Amino acid sequence: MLYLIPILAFFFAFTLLPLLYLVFGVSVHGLYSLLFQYSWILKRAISFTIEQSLISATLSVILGFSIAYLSLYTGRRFSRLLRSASVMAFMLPSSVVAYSFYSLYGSRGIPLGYGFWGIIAAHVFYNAPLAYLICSSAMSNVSRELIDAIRLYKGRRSEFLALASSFRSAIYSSWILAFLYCFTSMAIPLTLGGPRYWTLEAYIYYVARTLLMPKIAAAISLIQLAFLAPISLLARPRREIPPGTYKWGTRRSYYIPCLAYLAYEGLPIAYLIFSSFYDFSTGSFTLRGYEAISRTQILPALLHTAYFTAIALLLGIGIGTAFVLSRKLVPIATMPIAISPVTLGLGYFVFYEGRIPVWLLIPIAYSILSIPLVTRSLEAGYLKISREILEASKLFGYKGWKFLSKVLIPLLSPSYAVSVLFVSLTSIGEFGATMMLYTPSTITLSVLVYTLLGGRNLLEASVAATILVVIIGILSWAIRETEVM
Amino acid sequence: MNKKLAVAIGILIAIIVIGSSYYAITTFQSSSNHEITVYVYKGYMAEGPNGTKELPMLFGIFENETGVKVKIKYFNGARDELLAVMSEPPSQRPDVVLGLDNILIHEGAEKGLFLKLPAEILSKVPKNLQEAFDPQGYGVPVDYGLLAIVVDESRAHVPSLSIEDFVKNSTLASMLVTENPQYSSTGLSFLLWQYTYYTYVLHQNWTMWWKAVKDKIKVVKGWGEAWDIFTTPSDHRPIITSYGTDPAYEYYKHKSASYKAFLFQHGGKRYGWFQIEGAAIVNGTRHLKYAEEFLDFLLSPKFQEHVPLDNWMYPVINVSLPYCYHFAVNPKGVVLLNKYIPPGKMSSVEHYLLLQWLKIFGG
Repeated sequence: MLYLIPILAFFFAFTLLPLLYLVFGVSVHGLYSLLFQYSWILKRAISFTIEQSLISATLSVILGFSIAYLSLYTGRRFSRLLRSASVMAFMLPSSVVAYSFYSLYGSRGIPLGYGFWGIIAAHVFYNAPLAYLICSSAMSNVSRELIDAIRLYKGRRSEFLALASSFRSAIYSSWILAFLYCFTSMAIPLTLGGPRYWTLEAYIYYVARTLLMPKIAAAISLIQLAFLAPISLLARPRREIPPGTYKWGTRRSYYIPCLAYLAYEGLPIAYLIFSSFYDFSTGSFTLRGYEAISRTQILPALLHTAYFTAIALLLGIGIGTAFVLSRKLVPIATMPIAISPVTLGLGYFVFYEGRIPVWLLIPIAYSILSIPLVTRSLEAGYLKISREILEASKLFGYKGWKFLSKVLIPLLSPSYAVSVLFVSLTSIGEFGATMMLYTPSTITLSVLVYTLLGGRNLLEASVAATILVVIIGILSWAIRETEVM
Repeated sequence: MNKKLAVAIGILIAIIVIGSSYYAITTFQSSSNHEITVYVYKGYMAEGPNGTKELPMLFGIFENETGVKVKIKYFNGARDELLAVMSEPPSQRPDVVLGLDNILIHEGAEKGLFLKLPAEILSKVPKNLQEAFDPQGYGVPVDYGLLAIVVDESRAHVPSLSIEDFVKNSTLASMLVTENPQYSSTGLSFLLWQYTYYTYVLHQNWTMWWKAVKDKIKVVKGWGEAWDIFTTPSDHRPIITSYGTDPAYEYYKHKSASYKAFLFQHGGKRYGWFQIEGAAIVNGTRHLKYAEEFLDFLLSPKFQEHVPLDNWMYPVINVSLPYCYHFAVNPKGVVLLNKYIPPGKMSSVEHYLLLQWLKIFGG
């Protein structure tokens, strides 16, 4: 168990310590200033954050559940297409989604791409697929008895509402998750909203990095934490409906709204890819953006992203394995779930700036953010291993590294594959913590998309975003292959 | 494990290994003894017919004359250049930073990033420019321009204009597009200009102007977006906060004299805000002699005569200006408001203004 000492020390040094520093070292004074001198920031940020989260989460769940219901009456292939598109959309980096909405709608003056409704539209783009995945997964194995009972007592016309009532726990779970995601959204309000439409996360970033007032930023992040913690507790596990194998028929008219959903999810991304090959100034197709990859910041950003992901993989999977082996410490590993990426980045920014180089801090942040997912995935695999095998391996003298390399890693290889994908997804698309910490020499692809848009380098931004879409596409396909969704 | 999945993870790991190797190589490589590294933002001296090729071509003249190679590293903006220097360990810093404005140069100097320049270099530029840019002498101006309110007279007939007119005439305000000072250096300079004019010339509360016009004017993220809106007739925004050389640019490009640039006017005087771009030598450079020679080159006619048409700013030494500059705002006789914010107070004033601006616009 000695190996746990450095692991725990690392985990606390990069999770608890910066947070404690924010709470006790900086925020007492910051909180005072925020409450008495800058209370307008607080009022505005809280009211907008709550307002947009309520609207976005509600619209997302209505859309997601409706599509999940309608898709029950479509063919298997079409359902698989809906599922693939939803997985892909949900996994895209937030800066890419924000950019695609801006370029398709905002640049043409269409309200779906800027301002309040632009933020809502982009949040729905993200969270409707989440609600769809949760609800369709819950409804996929509904029993014949339930459907017969609904049709008998409520009639066919009320089937939708009756199903919504039966699967309210799935709806509730998706709503809470969507609310949490919208509450901690940063790239979308920063890109699509002006100062009138900034969330608490956007304010934390702006106040810390541009106005250089980390005490105030820390105070805002504390207030945010006070909101997030109770909401996170509401995200309880779903109540299961007795499973069954009801066979749904096909209704052609139901394809139309599903196709509209696919268009809503697909159009911004398709347009993004198109715009990486099209020069709007000359009105012709071009490969200029791709030819210039090596001469622009895209290649360094891509390679930085790869490097940070590599370090995060080593750290995240190593620490996750240690937690799983210790068993009792698994609950500690889930702690970072309650910390928003921007808050973690802010903690590192105020506590470690100048002490640890940025090129180490960024991958450490990625690894900390992905440890809960890695630990859960590895733990699920570990619990499936027969106790006899573990005991037999001990009897045969498999200990330490030999146990890891000859027994545990081979047995847990599917869980490790999933963990690799989770860490990679978290790292490649990460925006909040990176924005707090990055420097121009350590810029990543997801942050580059945001900065290129700010500098009106739209062709480059489209190319960088398209590269991210391709990488995330491959990863989401691989995740579907492992059937973890 | 699924074979396809194993291939996908293999590809991912290969990309990661290549990326890490590249990162390690580029991060820790050292430059040769006859080479200087210059940080500059993309678009600097890139507005002429040669576009982005112009700057390497100009630096080629220096390379041929001195035998010293110039390695250029581009950034998205001048602030990014400074952030890079701040975050890098001393051994990886560049020798020269080019394109910093009069706000950023102070931020860098305060952090001890730049060396004080020798008097021989500083004496090559007019004293008033040096005073407005950096009186302490950590940086030297390379080009400068005046901020202005630019009107497309073919779409808005405005015989004379000062900033107060936007408050008096809401139709005028609804024609104005300006840049968000939170993101844009042009927007920030306009905010500083407006603040100093209202505070030190009119002796009025500067926030009144923004409160009066905020629902009429259009605020966009950056200058590029503002320019697109300004030049698109269907957007109905024929007035922009931009630069005094825009009319010269319009005449040069389209042989049109329809753009007119205005400064703030009060009591028969014209009040302006200089946006000055300059260069500094990074503290810790191992090529001090070459870096000084490079700054000499930047201030020589060989470089300066290209400034007006490649950067659309004024050169800092006496070189002949192209004809189109007859249409630009003449900086002679303009009362500069930069003097009201001393270098040591720049960053606190900037933060105060941004917070107040946020308070007005966020509501």
